[in-house]
Amino acid sequence: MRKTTALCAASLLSNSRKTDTLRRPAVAGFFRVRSRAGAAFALLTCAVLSAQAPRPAAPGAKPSPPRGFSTGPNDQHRVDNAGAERGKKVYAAECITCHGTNATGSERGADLIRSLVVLKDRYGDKIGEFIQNDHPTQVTPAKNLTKEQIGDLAHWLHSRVIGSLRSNQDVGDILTGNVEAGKAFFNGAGGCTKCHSVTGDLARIGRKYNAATLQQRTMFPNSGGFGRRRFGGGAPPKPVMVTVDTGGKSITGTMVHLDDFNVALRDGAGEYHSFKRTAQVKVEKQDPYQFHIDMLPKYTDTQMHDVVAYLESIR
Amino acid sequence: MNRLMRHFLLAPAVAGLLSGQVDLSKAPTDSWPTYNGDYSGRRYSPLTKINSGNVHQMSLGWVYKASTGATGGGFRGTRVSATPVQLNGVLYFAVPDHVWAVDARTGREIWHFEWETKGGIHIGNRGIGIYGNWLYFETPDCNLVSLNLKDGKERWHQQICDLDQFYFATMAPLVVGNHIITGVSGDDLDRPGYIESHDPETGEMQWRTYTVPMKEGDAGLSSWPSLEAAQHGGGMTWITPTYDPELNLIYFGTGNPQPVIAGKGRKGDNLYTESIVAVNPDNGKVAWGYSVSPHDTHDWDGVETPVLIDGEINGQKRKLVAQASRNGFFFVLDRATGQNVVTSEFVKTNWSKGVDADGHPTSNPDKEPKVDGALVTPNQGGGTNWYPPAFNPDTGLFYVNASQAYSIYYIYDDSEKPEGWGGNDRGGWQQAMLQAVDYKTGKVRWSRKFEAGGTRGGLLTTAGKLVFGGDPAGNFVAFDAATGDPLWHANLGNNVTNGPISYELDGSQWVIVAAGDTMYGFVMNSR
Repeated sequence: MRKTTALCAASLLSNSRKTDTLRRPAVAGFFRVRSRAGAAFALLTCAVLSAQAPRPAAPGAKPSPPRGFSTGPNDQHRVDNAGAERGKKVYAAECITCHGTNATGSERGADLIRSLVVLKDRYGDKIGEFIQNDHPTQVTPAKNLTKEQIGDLAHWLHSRVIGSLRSNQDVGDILTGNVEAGKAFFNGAGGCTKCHSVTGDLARIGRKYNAATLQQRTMFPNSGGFGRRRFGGGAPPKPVMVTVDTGGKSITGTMVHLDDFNVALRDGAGEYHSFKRTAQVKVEKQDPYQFHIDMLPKYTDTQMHDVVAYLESIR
Repeated sequence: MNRLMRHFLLAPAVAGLLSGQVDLSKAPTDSWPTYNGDYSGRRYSPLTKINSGNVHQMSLGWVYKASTGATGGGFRGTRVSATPVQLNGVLYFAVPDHVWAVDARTGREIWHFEWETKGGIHIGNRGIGIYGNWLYFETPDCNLVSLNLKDGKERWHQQICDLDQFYFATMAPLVVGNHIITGVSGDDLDRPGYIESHDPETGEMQWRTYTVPMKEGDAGLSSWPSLEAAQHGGGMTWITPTYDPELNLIYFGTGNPQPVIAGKGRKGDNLYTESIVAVNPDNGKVAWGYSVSPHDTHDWDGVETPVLIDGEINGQKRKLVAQASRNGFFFVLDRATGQNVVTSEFVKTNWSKGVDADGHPTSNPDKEPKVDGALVTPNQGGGTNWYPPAFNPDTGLFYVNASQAYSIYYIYDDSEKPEGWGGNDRGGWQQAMLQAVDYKTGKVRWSRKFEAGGTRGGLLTTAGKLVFGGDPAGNFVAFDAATGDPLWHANLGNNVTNGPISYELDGSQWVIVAAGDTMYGFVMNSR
């Protein structure tokens, strides 16, 4: 939980700087939370990160178009986290009974995440007007909410909307597999021991990655997982090798390029070689991760979860 | 410039043809007057001056770099995914907030229009539509904008969706008679999809048809747990429809249901999301709808171009519509009735338990997203995606840029009423391939597998026995339409990002394609 806060706070800082450096798009897995309560807190903390606020342009400069998913209108409500925290209390006191814990409504009150009043609101203007003039119960919430309370409530409700966008929620508990079954799969049908050993290359693997990242990297060794150590920070991926036989002469090296027309490699001495592919040129690609690719159609989800549970237990 | 002006002066007569006075079921040879070239969506050019026997001699005629001044990732860099329209020797195309007119003979810019944006997702723009002297395009901030063809000056703009609801707009408008047909995007919040028709002169809305039930009594309501769920059920409309003038029906595919991944609160088939829908362009009335992915939970928009095929099934002439859908399945329907004719896989999938009596793939609950993850193929990117396929009536083959891809689908919000994005997938591995599907059987006749994943460009096929498309290594390739063998290629330094087109000007056949921010004109020179 502490990690989450720190990461999001750091992102907020970097977002506030008016620089032209590439801003990291908000991606799932940027923070990792396990509990529902934690998720709610992280959503709040990171709300601004994912609201994709366009930075103010230099005087005279054209504003940049928004980037990434979930951008919405340029003039959208920007959530103030402290305001949202205060608004959460206003919500709990005045609104929660009818509109529900998650503001998604109940038989007694409308879904506020899907409410056009909320989506059209900026800093309480529409929400305040509605509460004052059009709210069907008129008593609860009280008409005597102050302007500040309405503003805080607006921050809270907008943070709930932003929290429903893609990239703003994160993976839950994926450790559902059976350790013993995973061990049997690892040592038997899975064929993992052809290349791996839990006392060799995979020693203490359960400490190296969080469980969700371990699952992603077990299935897709070259792709990232979740959270700060989503790429593990370990050894770089093994290179794809290629052997080119031009009829009598064979050369093997690290593959630089391969398509239907050309192949290029760098040999052990670091020399670059490029060939046109013809009927006379034989090309053999050796992908060190080919076994993982070939396993993808064979895995059952149970086997996947079992082997991940086993690897997670290797600590 | 005088020559150009002369072309513009000729424009009204020719452009009049676009307002419903000719049958665009056949592609013209000297122009490419609409997103798909003609109304059928086949992307089949009858030109033969470039053919399988001489394509190896095709050469570069010009290069045009489209500059918006924007750089960087996150959709900010310039990527031409629009299929250009070519009329009277001028190419018109768009990226988000920008439209260009470029000389089709020389690649020289004639004008450039920039729209000042109020926001919205800038993921792409599929192109423009033309009616008379006017050009129409959609903007990320929900406007339909009409420009004067001759100078790119704005004539009017009309709001077609609500940015506050996180809608945005990318579709190349379709012109049918005096209707400018528009579609919308936006699956961030749980909003309903719709298509609209607008008056070409004023921009006023003529009709709007929702893709999901919006009131009691609407068709398909029983496929949702409640009216409230249906009204927030998604089904966006972001790829240009096709049109059958005889039946007077337009055909469009619809996007994913909402909430997109976490579908617990929308039990049922969720009609008409991820469906092929036939609509009368004069009044917006739905003739029929056919779900290609009942109750999808994988974000597999069914928007891919519904291609009209006048074909023969079991010796009988049939009016058909075919779609290679993002979920990995290929469908052929009777386009008068919506009855299923063929369902097959064009890539291997693992999410379906099979096909029901009406040809709908049946979802396997085990492969719906899970808190601990479900390994699924295809991935969220899909077996294919928005990029246009092609159909060649000479070979009877439907060509589609496809992907064999795996990812793990997670549920993040397992509450009873998740909203928005209560889950997502995480990749993955993929391999790109060009598939040639026999429309009569749905069987893959040939498959050209590439060395990597990541092809996201469209296809063109011609009477010259060719298929044009890109590979994942930045090559623009001419394939033999019958065998898939590559006959010519040029590395463009960037993967193909749009649908290639072809036309003949001054006796020479051209092939135009975009890769990233650059458009290339290839030509078979004549003496």
